[in-house]
Amino acid sequence: MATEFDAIVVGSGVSGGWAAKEFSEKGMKTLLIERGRNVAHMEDYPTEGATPWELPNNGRIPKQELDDDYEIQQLAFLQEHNKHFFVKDSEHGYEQPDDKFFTWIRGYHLGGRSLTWGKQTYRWSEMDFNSNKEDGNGIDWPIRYADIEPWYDYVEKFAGISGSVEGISNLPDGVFQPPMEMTCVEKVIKERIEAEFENRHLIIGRCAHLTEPTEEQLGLGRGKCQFRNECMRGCSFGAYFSSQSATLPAAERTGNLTIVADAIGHSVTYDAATGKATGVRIVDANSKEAREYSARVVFLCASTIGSTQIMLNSISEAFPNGIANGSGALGHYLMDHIYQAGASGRMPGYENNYESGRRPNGIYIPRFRNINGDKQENFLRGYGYQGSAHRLPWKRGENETGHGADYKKNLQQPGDWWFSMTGFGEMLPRYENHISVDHDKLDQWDVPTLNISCEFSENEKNLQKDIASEGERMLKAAGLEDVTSWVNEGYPGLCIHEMGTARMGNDPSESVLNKHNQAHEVPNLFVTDGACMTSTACQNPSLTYMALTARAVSYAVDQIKEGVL
Amino acid sequence: MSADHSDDVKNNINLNRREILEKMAVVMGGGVSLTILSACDGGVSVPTSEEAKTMPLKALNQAQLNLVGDIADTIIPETDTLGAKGVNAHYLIDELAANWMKAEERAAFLANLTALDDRIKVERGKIFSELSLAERGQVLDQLGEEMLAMNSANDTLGDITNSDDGKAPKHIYHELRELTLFGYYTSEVGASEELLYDPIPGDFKGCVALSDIGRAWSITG
Repeated sequence: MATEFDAIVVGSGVSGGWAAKEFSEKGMKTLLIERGRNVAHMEDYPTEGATPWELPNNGRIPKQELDDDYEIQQLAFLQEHNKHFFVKDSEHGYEQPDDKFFTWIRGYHLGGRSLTWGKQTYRWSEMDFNSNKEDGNGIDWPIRYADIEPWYDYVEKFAGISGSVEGISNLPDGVFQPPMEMTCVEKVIKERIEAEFENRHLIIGRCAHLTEPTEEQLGLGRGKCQFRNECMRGCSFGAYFSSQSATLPAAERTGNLTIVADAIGHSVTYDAATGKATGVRIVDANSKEAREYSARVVFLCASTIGSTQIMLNSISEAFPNGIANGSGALGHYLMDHIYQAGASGRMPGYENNYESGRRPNGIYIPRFRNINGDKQENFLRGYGYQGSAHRLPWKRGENETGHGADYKKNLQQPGDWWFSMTGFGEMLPRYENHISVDHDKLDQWDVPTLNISCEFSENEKNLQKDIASEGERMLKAAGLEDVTSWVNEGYPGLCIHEMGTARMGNDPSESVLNKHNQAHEVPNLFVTDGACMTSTACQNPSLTYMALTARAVSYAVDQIKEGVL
Repeated sequence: MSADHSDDVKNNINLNRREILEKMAVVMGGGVSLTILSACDGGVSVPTSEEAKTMPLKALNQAQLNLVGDIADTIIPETDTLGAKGVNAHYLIDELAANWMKAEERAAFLANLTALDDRIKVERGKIFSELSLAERGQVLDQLGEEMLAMNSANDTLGDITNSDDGKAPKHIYHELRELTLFGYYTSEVGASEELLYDPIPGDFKGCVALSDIGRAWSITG
C-alpha cells in the first residue's frame, strides 16, 4: 500500500527534533506532528531581551492567575517571561489519587521542552546500563555502553556540548567544546572536596551551549553563548540546543520535512493483516476534527507520558490494552529523579572576587555512592549534585533592617559568597508507578483522559537523606560556614526527568521495546523519548534520548532500505 | 505606564530585539533576517515623575501611597542616583497590590498599611511623611526590630501558621522592604544606574577582581 510519508514523528521536542533531522537527512519523506502551536525561531520569542522594567508587574505573574491556570506548572520554573512555553493546567488536566501527587511539567508548542530544558548533558556509563541486572530491580537493559557510545559522539558533535575532559569512569568524557569557567569560590570548594574525599570530584557542568561553534553549527545560524542566562525565553543566537536552533533547521533544509502543528496525536493506527502500524490518527486542536496520516514507520517522541498515552489510546482487537502491549508493561514503571534535597553554606572571605556575565550552567559532583568500593546499607544506586557559588545580590536586603544612603551604598556592592547544591538521585523502577487512560471519560478533543499514579519508595527517601547529610559534611569540610541541609518530601515529576512506561528489554513478555527502540510486537513502531527508559541512572537524561533516537532512526532506515519495513 | 501599557511593553521588547539582532550581526558575521529587523520599530514610553503624579491609583489610596512612598524613599533615598520615590517604586507597589496580590492578600496589605499609618500618628503625633529624616529613621529602626523578632518567631514556629497559603504571615515592614527593593532594583535606574546591568554580556569570567567591576550586577547568574 502506498503511504503518504516514509516516516511520521509525533512530537517536536528534543527526541522528535532529532528523529525529524535524521530521517530527513537520510532522504526520507518525513511528517512531524506537534500537538501545540507553531513557534518560529527568533520570531516567536516575545519576551527575549525584555528587561525587568519592561515586563508586566516587573516580571511577576499575578498570583490569582497562577492558582487559576498554573496550579501544577507554577511549582517549576514558571515566570512571566516564559509562561507562554508552559501549558495551562486549567486546560490540560489529568487525574491522580488523593494520596499520590505527580507534577507533570510541560509545554505544548513546536520545540516542546527543548526550549525550556536545563541543558545539562551527561553520558551514562557501563555501570548505569548494568545496574538493573546487578541488583535485580527492574529488568536488564538490552543495550550496553558500547552500543550507544558512537551515538553519543555523533549527537554531541552536532548539538554542541560544553564541558571538561575529566577521565571519571562512571561519567564518560565526550566530544566537548571549551568548558565554562568556575567562580573563584567554586574553584576553592573543588580543591578542598577533592583533597578531603577520595573518589569525589567537583567539575564544571556539561551543558548543551555553544562555546566554540563548529562550521556546521554556524551554517545553521547558530552562534556562541552570550551569557545572558535568559535561555527559557528562547535564544535568537541559537546558542543552546533546541529543536528550533538545531535539529529542525537541519531537517528543513533537506526539503524532506513537513511540519503539522496544532495536531494532537490521538492514536497509532494498526492493520492486523500486516501486523504493522499504518500511521497516526490526530485531532485538530482548533477544529477538533480527526485526521489520519499514513507512513511506513511511526516514531513516537511525544514525551514519556505523551507517547505512552497515545499507545494506550491505540486499541484494536489485536491489542485491546494498547498497541504493542502484549507484555502488560505499557504504562508501568514510571520514574523521575529525586530532586528535593541539598545543602548550602556561606564561604567567608573572597571579598574582592566577583564574576562577569551570567553563566547558564553550574558545577557537578558525579555519583560516588555504591561505586569504587563504597557500599551503602540502606539504599541502592546513587546521586550527583548540581550547584553553584555566587555572591548574594540586592535581594539579601529584604531580611536586613538597614536604610538610608549608607545602606543603599552597601547594597550597591555584592554580598557574601554562598554555595548551594541540590542532589539528583536515581529512582527505582516499580510496577505500581503507572499511567493509564480512561476510555469512558474523554477530554475536550475526545481523547481519553489520563491518570497518573506515582510515588517515591523507601530507597528514594533514604537516598534523599544521604544527599542532605553528605552535602552538609562536604560543605563543612570545604570550609563553608552557616551550613544547612534540607530534605523536602517532594513529589515525583518535579525534576522534569520523567522516564519509563514503555521500557526497553530483551524479553517481549516483560518489555515493550527491543534494543532498537522498536516495539516487539509492531516492527514499524518506535518510541525513542523518555518512555523507553528501563532505569533512570542519576544523570540528566536528554543526551541519552538524543543518542537513542539517532541510533533508532539509523536502524529503521536500514530496515526500510532492505525492504523489511 | 500609559493607557495602553501592553503596547509599550511590546515596543520596548522590540527595541531590545533590535539590540540583540545588531549584536548577532557582529557575533555571527551578518546574515540577520531583514524581515525580523523591520518588525523591530517601536517607541519607548517611561513616565516622568511629573506624569506619575497624575497617574490614577489602582489599589492604594493617597494616604497609603504617601506612606509607602516615603518609607520606600527612607530605605532607598536619592543619592547620586534617584531613590525609590524617584523611580516611582511606590506606583509599582500600587500596581503589584492591584495585579499581583490575590484579593485577600491585597485587603490584608491595605489594612496593614492603614494600621501602620494610624499607629505612627498615635505614637508620634504626626503621619510618617511629616516626620523629620531622623524621626523616620527611628520609626524604621523600631519596625526593623519587630520584623526580626517576628521572623525568628516564625522560624521557631516552623509549620504552624495561620495564613491561607501555609506561609507564616510577614511583618508589614518586611513586606514593604521586599516590595521596595524589588521595585527599585528592577527599575531602569535601580538596575542599570545604581547597579550594573548588561543585557548581552557576550562572555563569562568566573573569577575577576571586584575592583575591576566596581559594583554589583542587578541580575545575577
